Amino acid sequence: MRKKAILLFLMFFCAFSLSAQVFSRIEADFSVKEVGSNGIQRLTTGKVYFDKNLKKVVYFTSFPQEEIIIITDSLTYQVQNDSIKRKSKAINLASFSIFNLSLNGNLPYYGLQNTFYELTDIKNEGNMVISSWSLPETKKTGKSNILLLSQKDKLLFGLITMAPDSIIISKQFFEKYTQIDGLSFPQEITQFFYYDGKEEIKRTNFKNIIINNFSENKYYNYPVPPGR
Amino acid sequence: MRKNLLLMFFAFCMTGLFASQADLFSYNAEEVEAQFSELTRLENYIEENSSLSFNDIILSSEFANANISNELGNSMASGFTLDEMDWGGFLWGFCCGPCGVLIVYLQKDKRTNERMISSLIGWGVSVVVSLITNIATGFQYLSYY
Repeated sequence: MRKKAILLFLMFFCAFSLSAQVFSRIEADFSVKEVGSNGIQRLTTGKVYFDKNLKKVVYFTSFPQEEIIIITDSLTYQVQNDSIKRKSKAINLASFSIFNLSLNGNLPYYGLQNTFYELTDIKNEGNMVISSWSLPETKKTGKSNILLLSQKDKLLFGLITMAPDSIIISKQFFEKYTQIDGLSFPQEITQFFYYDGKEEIKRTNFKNIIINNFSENKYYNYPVPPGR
Repeated sequence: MRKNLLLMFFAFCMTGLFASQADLFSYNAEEVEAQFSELTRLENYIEENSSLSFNDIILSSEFANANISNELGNSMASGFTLDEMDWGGFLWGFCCGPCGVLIVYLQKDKRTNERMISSLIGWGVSVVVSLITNIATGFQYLSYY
């Protein structure tokens, strides 16, 4: 009887452990294609690493040139030949990256539930669940404070940013989800940006995605060179 | 019967009047693929010729007419830098302080994120310069006593 109880407890514990798998690292080959409103095209390819405990996104670009981009929640560094080429301020870029949102299970609502945005409406339309989000009156910036978010099969599908006068500022589509070790991740993100009546398009693709690789620390925790 | 037909017609019109939000979540995939076709071709070429540099590829006959930039994508290293400074906005903030920032905000046709940030930086710089000037003047007065 006692042995059976211990066995049952062990089985329950193992089942619980497996279901509570923690995702803390992600790496992938990426490519970013952009077509500007002026007709200029850009292609960037390389490899990206992210560790949610370090809160650092590290891009190793191979095309058009070899560079390293390190993105934290406060600063972004462009590194070339072991020296900082450019440094710029950035707010929460790492926290709201697709990588951090995905690893923390916050991608379905794009992490909005952890921001000042409040859910104002939710409805089913066809095969989509569409939710509306806006900032409370006291925190409105007057710039872009209306978000429409759509989900298909409980996965984030689209995110539309609208100005207060309902003018669309940007659209993002998250598609071609793949399952890696139990984590759903979109392999293709298409973005549209609108301003002054013009449109720019950007598409990011990910492949060869690996989760929880704890052996390549030098890439995940690439140090920012001193100086500047 | 006539009443029912009228009601049905009215309901049909009402559904047509309010376009669904689902329509906003769509785009012409074929058109987008066509816009990216050159870059997709370039991406495949790079995979097959990984030893070639950007200049080698762009100067080759394969992509001689392509309008491709050698800069990294805009959002790879985003953030505000001196390159993005709008000096007109900066001057408004520097010379007129919060009124200048408000004027920049009200100029809807010229208002951009960079221009707003530049005006705020200008205002900030003017405050710092004033402080330094006041402190220096204060020291000067002190030296007379």
